Amino acid sequence: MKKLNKHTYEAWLLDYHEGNLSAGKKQELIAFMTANPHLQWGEHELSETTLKPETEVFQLKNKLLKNEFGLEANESDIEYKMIELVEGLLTKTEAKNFENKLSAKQTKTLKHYKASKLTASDESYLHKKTLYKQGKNSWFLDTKSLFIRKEYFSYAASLLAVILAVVWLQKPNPNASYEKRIAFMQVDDFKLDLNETLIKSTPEKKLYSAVENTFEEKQNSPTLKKETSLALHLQPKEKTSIALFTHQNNQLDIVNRINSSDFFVEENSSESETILSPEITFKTKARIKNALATITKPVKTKIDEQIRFEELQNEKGHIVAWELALGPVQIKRNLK
Amino acid sequence: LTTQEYNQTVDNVSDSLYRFLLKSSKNKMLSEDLVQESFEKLWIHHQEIEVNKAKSWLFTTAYRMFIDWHRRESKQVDESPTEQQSPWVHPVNHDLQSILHQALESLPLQQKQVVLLRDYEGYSYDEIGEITSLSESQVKVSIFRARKALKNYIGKLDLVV
Repeated sequence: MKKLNKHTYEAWLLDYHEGNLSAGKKQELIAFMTANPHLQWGEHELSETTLKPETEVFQLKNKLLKNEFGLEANESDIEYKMIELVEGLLTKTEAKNFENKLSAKQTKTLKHYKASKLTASDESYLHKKTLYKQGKNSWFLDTKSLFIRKEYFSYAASLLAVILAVVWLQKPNPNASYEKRIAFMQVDDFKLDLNETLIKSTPEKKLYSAVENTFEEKQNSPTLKKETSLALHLQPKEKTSIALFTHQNNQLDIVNRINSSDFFVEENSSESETILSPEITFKTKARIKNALATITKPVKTKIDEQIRFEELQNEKGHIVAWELALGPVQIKRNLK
Repeated sequence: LTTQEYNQTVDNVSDSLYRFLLKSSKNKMLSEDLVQESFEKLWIHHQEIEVNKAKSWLFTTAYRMFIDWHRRESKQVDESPTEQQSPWVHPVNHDLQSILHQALESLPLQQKQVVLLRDYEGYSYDEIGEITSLSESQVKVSIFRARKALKNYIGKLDLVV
């Protein structure tokens, strides 16, 4: 019984009126009802309200009864059940029960039905005999229209082959050797814009533009999407540098750059001429080589492009300038 | 259930089930149909149902089918308030049982059915709870309210008489 509260007190009252409450629970209920005078005890003698069943009967009872075969009792024949048995529609238990009941009745009907059941070979034979054979008059004559035309098919196959070939060619080969590329810039062209203002404001932009133009000329290359190039980065005077560029997805970036001051070794010079010893020249060359190795390190690419480094001498045999060239690009540095 | 036990159940339960449904629905055709359907379902499951559970199983099945029918009907027909048909205004006779049966019709369906299951079939509150999917406490509350209403009905009738 649920705990006494305002939701369950009526259930308690029913038990109280029916005399089903123990003395302790009666006291509990009385205390609860006293504490809650707004709740009604209900009428006494609720037993007066007990209904006595009426006398209607179900007239169709016979329809519900089953005989020993599970059929309606008033159904005289057992054909339906027999058919179910012969057709294998009964469960094993049902079939067994049914057969037992029939055997107990020593009926010949079951034998009759069983005898009527076809063997597998009979069934197969009959099945074949009953197969519908289609006559020509029922054929669909316009079968050609159902086929795809061959020429369309061959066009489609050719197109597919071309697409596959293009896709295959576009596929980057991880084992392909790195294709060295040099951004070829004409120093003279570049120099046209070498006025102080322009260079101060957009030196990098100008350089990019020059390098990009070079790349654009070579867009037919399948490796264009991943290009790395070494270029001379021309900037006024001592800011001359060598830079490593990458050109990926049509975007140009400087990967690394080294300024000329980092590799040009200079000694105290006279007013207009500098006499460089072979040792200094050697040091400078070594530094350039080292600088190139350094800036190409990020792409782990060995660029062995011929670096031309020449000393320009005056008529006295003194070195007055160095000329650094990468491919056709040259920079000339006059020595103080 | 064996076939014999099933037939025994038909003999023992079909009348009371029919009366319960007839009282609930006041529709003879419907009650007959529901009784037949309930027994048909019982026969389909007769191998799984024990004989001592058959009556309860039938009442539960019939009750649920009736509730389904009642819900469908309630959606289709806008039922007029029961007060308008309240039989105590024009009682046919003053025999207590007759009056009670008339008064029963004024009860809400759930109260009416739990009283019928209790009084007609003598089910325990727990069993009624199983049939109607109510808790024992809910069954008791419904029966208490039903009896209180019936008692009030009789009291009002006494005043009229």
